[in-house]
Amino acid sequence: MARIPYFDTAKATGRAAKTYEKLPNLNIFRMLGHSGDMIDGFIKLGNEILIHGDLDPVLREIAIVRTGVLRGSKYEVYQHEEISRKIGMSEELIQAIHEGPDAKIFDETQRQVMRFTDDVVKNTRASDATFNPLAEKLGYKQLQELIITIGFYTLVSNFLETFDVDIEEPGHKSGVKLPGMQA
Amino acid sequence: MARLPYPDPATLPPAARELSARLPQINIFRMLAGSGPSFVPFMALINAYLNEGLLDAELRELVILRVGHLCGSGYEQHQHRRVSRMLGMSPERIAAAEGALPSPLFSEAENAVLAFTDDQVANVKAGAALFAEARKHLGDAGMQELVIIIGIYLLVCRYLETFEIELEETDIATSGLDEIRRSMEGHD
Repeated sequence: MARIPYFDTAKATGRAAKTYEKLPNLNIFRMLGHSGDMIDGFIKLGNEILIHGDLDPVLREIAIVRTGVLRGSKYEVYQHEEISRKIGMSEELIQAIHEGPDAKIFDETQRQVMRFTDDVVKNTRASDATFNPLAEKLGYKQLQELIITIGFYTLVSNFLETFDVDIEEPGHKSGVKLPGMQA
Repeated sequence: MARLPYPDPATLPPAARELSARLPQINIFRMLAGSGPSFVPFMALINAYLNEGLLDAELRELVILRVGHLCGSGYEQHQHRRVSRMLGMSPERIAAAEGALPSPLFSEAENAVLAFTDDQVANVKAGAALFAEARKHLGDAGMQELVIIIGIYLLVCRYLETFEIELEETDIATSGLDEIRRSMEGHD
């Protein structure tokens, strides 16, 4: 059970009401309604990360799910495993995100993203050993996207866990649509 | 030296170049201009939480200073000590943001919120008693704002420390908050 009541989204006004017109039907967004107009800043940054980035979607979802695993956020892990499946990631690859960077199934870049995510979440500053090989591979723009993704989903984990946002009932239709997702 | 080169403004997309030129000229914003599509919405998020929030401004700055201290981000602390001074906070209260809690220099609400911040940063989900105590002072909208501010600055500290953004040689003369607000006009 959530720690505070969900917001009644039918009562949203102003920028929040406009934001709700396009949002998927998910408990995280119902909970966010207490923030009023401030909701749109959070949503717009999330959208840019998920829709308009150059970072490969598989690498992005590995970083997001790993952040959720490290921060103990079941809701984040649940929702982004759903997205991972729908962009074509195998169950073995998804399971490996829980196991850690040394899991055999990762290719070299995926393993480096796992190591970098672990380092940034735990130590704030990534060490030279995790930073340098990835910077060379991804380039500076995608590296910036990656760290903003890890930081944003650290925020999301804190929000979900602190307010105890509930995972939706089985069979719930969220309506999440992202580039590259199969129906 | 930062770990990445600062982007050349001439190579940025027009919206990023225009916003970058209007923002306070500090290194974090110069670097962020090269982050692609997240740059404008990230600045909009920061602007909303620094300039349009419900939380008391001194309380907000104490939380930001605390997160910087807990993450060991000297750059974040340096910039927000300046913001705190410009708001009129005493040097003692600014220093106490990285000291033991509860502090006699803080109100009951400030002590409750900072204790919650420590637990949130360390444990993701703050304990029920700390949550209830902070909520008593802030209410539901204030609690959401608080959790999101802590999260934004966890992101900022990770960005600053991983990219090794260096302090400017000369501090800007203002808090920078009004300049951020004005730079965001027209960037909805």
